[in-house]
Amino acid sequence: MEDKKPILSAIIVSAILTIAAIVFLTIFGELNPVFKAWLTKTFSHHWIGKSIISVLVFLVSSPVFYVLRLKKISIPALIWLLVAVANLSFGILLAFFFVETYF
Amino acid sequence: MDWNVFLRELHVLGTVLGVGGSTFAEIFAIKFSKDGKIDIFEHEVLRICIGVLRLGLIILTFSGLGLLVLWRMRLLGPDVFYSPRFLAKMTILLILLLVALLMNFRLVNLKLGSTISTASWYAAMILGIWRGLDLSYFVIMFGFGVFVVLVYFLLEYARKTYLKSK
Amino acid sequence: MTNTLIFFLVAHIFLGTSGIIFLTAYLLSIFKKEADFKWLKINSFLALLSFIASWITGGYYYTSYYGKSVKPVILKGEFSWVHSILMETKEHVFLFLPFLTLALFAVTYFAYSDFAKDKKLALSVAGLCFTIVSIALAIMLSGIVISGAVGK
Repeated sequence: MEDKKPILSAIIVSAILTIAAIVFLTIFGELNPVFKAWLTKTFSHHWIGKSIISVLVFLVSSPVFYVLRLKKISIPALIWLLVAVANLSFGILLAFFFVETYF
Repeated sequence: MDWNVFLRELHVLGTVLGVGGSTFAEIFAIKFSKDGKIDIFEHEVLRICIGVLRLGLIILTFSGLGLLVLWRMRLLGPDVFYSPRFLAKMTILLILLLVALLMNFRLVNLKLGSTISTASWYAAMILGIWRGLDLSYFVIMFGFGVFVVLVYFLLEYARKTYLKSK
Repeated sequence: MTNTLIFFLVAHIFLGTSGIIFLTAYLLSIFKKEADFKWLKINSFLALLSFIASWITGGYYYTSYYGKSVKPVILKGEFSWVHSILMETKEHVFLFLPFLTLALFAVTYFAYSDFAKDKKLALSVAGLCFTIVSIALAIMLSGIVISGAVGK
């Protein structure tokens, strides 16, 4: 696996970054109507805009992280970090929309 | 045949396979435990029962979702989707899935796990058939809890009776 | 609802559920002594394709129909929170799935030969798979609740 470590690290870290970007785009879009309107105007629908931007974030960051040759963190540790970020992000979005609805 | 009939027939098929697979898995598990060990043939038989059960679950899932789409198109709304009977059936299905996963990874006692699994299959089937059931969600779930305990003692009785016989 | 929209809705549900089933099969087989790594690769790849296709079909239904025809009905009814909490969360959390599944497929494809000897790796991959299945299942259940909020 050692020879595949750079590409795996790049994909996993890019996935982490992409999920973080999705959370940022979502919350920022809800708190900033101008940004949401820009997404709608540019991409015909704000959700399509978030989808496209998340794909772009992933596609751009993967080769960058691959070139950076991340070696210090083991693959299992990176995977657990991805798991933590995914679960936390789910919780953040659910909590955000709950608070936005009732408070 | 319209979609409603077709999907209901598939749903019944899934139930038959799931309840049947679960029932025979219990029967064979009791029979095979007589000599205290499971040989290769017995292991294969149990694997087949579990395979049939899983096939039943997949058929149930897709046909069930198909029926929900038909309900959605007919705009049946909260009265049906949020009815205590339907919510209880969904809860029991989730319990079944969780227990199956725990059993697969040996994170739960297998006797207890298979009891909950078998009771869940029968409970989901009964709730599916019992159209006029007019009880609250919590009463139905309490009834399910009692049912699980009854099934446990029934299976224990069957095990002890069979193990004592020649 | 037109036949095209019904098709896209059914496809979205079918493909999302297929993704869950492929990943459940993956999860159930990863620790088996005689784990068939060919099937782990196939299941994770099929799950990835399923979620991407579910993304596209669900996206079509959502952007062309849900916003103008379904959302107002739910918001007017007694379960308006079903849209403002569940649907809003669901439509954004769904975006995680293709990237999570891609990571799972990549690890399986490149490192499956290490699963048997590296228990830490196998456990982390199982944890990732379990997370994806749980999130996808939560999304599916939310979808059922959302459909239920649309009455006459």
